[in-house]
Amino acid sequence: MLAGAFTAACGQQADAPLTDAPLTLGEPGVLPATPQRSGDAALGYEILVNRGYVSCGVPLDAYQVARSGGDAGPALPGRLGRNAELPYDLNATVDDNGVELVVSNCLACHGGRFDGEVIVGLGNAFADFSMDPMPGVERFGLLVEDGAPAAAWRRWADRIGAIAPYMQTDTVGVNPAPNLTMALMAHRDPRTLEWLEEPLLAPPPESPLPTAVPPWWRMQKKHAMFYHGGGQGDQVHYMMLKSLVCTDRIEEAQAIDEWFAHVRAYIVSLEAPEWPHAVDAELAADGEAVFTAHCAACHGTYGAEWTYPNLLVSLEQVGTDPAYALQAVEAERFIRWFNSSFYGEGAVARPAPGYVAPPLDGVWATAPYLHNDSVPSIAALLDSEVRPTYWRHTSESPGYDQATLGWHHEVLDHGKEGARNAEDARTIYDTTRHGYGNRGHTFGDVLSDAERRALIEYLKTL
Amino acid sequence: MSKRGLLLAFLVVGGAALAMRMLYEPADDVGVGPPQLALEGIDRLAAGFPRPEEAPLRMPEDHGAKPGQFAEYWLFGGRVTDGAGSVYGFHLAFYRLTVAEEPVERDSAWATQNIYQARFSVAPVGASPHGEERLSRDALGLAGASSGPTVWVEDWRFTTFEDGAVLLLESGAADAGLKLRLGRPGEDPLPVDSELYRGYWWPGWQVEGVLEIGGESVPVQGDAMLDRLWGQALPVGRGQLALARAWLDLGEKGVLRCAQLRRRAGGGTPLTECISRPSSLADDVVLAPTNDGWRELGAARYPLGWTLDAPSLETRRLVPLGDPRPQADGGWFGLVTVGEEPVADDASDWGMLELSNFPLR
Repeated sequence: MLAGAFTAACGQQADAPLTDAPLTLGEPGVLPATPQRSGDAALGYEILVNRGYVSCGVPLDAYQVARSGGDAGPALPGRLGRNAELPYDLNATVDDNGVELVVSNCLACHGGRFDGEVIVGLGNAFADFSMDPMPGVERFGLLVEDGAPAAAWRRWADRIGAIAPYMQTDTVGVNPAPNLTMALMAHRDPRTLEWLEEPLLAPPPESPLPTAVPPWWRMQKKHAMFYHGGGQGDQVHYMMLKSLVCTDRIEEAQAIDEWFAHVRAYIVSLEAPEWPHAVDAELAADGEAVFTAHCAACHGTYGAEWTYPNLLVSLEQVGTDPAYALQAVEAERFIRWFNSSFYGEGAVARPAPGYVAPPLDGVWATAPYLHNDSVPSIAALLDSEVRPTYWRHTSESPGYDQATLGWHHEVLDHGKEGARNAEDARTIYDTTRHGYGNRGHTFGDVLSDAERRALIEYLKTL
Repeated sequence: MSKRGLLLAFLVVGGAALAMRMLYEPADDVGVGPPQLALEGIDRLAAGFPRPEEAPLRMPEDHGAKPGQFAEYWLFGGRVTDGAGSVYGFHLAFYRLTVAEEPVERDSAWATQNIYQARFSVAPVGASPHGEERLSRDALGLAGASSGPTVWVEDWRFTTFEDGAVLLLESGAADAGLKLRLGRPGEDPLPVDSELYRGYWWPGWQVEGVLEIGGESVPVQGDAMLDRLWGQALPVGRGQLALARAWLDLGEKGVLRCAQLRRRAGGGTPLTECISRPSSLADDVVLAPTNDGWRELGAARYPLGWTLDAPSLETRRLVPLGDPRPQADGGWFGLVTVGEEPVADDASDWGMLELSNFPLR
């Protein structure tokens, strides 16, 4: 699932032959529920971790040479056949010419780790999109023999080459999916899904805005997808956008559509993981009272009789970095592309100038916080005075801080300009940069320290 | 390939290492077990060898053999003039490739763990080069490399003297030969680092000696460079990618060594990596074949003409100094002149160009 489409698309209007009928954008307020398709959750998981819904990738022979002796890392249950030999974020498939391929799956972004364990559905807050992907993509060509494997590699490499300029973030950990989705839309005829070497639409900006990858287990409560609430209607058609990289025909999209009805069923069946450590029940009870008084109106209530208001809060009210939402509502050509495409059947892109107050199930596992990953811990989220302007994780897989509910990080006295070198700069989260701001959502500032401690204890129970 | 590299490669987007291909004409009595005839076999064999250690360069020791490494080479090239001002290019290269993981224990004096390839050429400007290629083995003293250091293939050799201050190159064939003395440059070599190989490029050697061409001895002097690598694999085009490497002496501007991988079938994103002195010279280098620089030689098409653009340079063109033919392995190597309007005289900039795995016609 490529979360958060329809953002980052300011700029010139393209010479697009798409309809110019007035667009209806979303507005702050309650997001309406729409009927969703049913599916088989178990089958959805099988599809998710085994099938080629991304239909282009690296020929298996080349992959095996490149990976020779390499560790496949943690394994997931239910991996069938060749998939069982691959890292969990890659699937095996066969293309129309019989070439065995290794392709990406959803878990590179949606299979984060907590304490070393892969949690399907947890956003990966450590994926590194800050490097140019093309040297790696092109170098695979050294390992590909002539004939059908070469054609398969070229197809994949050309697709990645087309979107690579739009997917390189300037910071490790944040995700560029919205921008690269729009770059893919720019290269496709919305009616036929044919790939166009020359883009049909003006591409998005080359500097993607940063987004956090939201956890899948929230989907069971949400009426609309994406932080701006613009993913309304049939959620399957947003979840399958991952396949836009290589799906060139309506017939292929229809097949993936059927698969993803089941994948969606799996996603909405997911429950948040349980806090893996002890909880001070008395303190948590105090925290629940604080939560009810200060948070529940937007984020809902929890327990057996849970409620969730599906509220989209205006930018003025929430005050967080507006760049992502504003670009979404200005991304007119991509909204039109979606709504007029196969993916727009039963779905309508309707981003709003605001942000959805998300359900907070398992929120302790989803650091960093806000839609752009700009705040490293819940403790900092609840006290805007202590939010660091410049920070970075202490390593590529840092330990977890149970007191603040965030990954261990260090606060810096300089941004990227003060970095030792380019590699160092990539690890620094600099909240002064466009779209990376950590302001807003200051609702916790009125709390006392004791109330914040209690609230943090309660959040562990969600 | 690292996990991070793979992740990048598949997040719709990695880093496969530069693979290797070495000229290898198999003989039926090389090594033990099944001869490693196929590239896959060479890959498997190479994978059993260590990657080169990250250690500072040591001279002259690093001129010497690296027997623990899967492969290595010594590549000398130079541009010299005779007393009448006529310009010549020359090169002499030695390659070693391991063909058996362990020292061979077999009741044959021909048994070997390494094979050697060597080639040399002497090229008067604008004329076809004179030269030869040889293949041999480190058995019966036919070929070898010592820590002396001396490297030899039959009677071709290079030898180090005076604690590395002087190198002597010697090779000969029916219609050509060279015997050249190289004096050490004042500046240090430039280190070459890669995941799979290491080494150095050392331009600026002062050359003095004799070329033999068509039975005539020609005293010459000029400049030379040495490129030396060792490791688990050596850089070469393979699969769907061709490799172009250029070693350029740009006079007052400095020296520049670039390697570029590009798709054989065209398209894609050429990958260019350069080192230089001064280091800033390598920033943002664009190296591209010229439209009229492609030549059909034998079964393949080679881009023999190139343009070089860099922020600190006026656009330069690279054209062959002589008229070298493809090598037996399908690659091409030759000396080039470099300039805004390149001419082959002793005042022009010059360099070496190597092409491998360029497409068949």
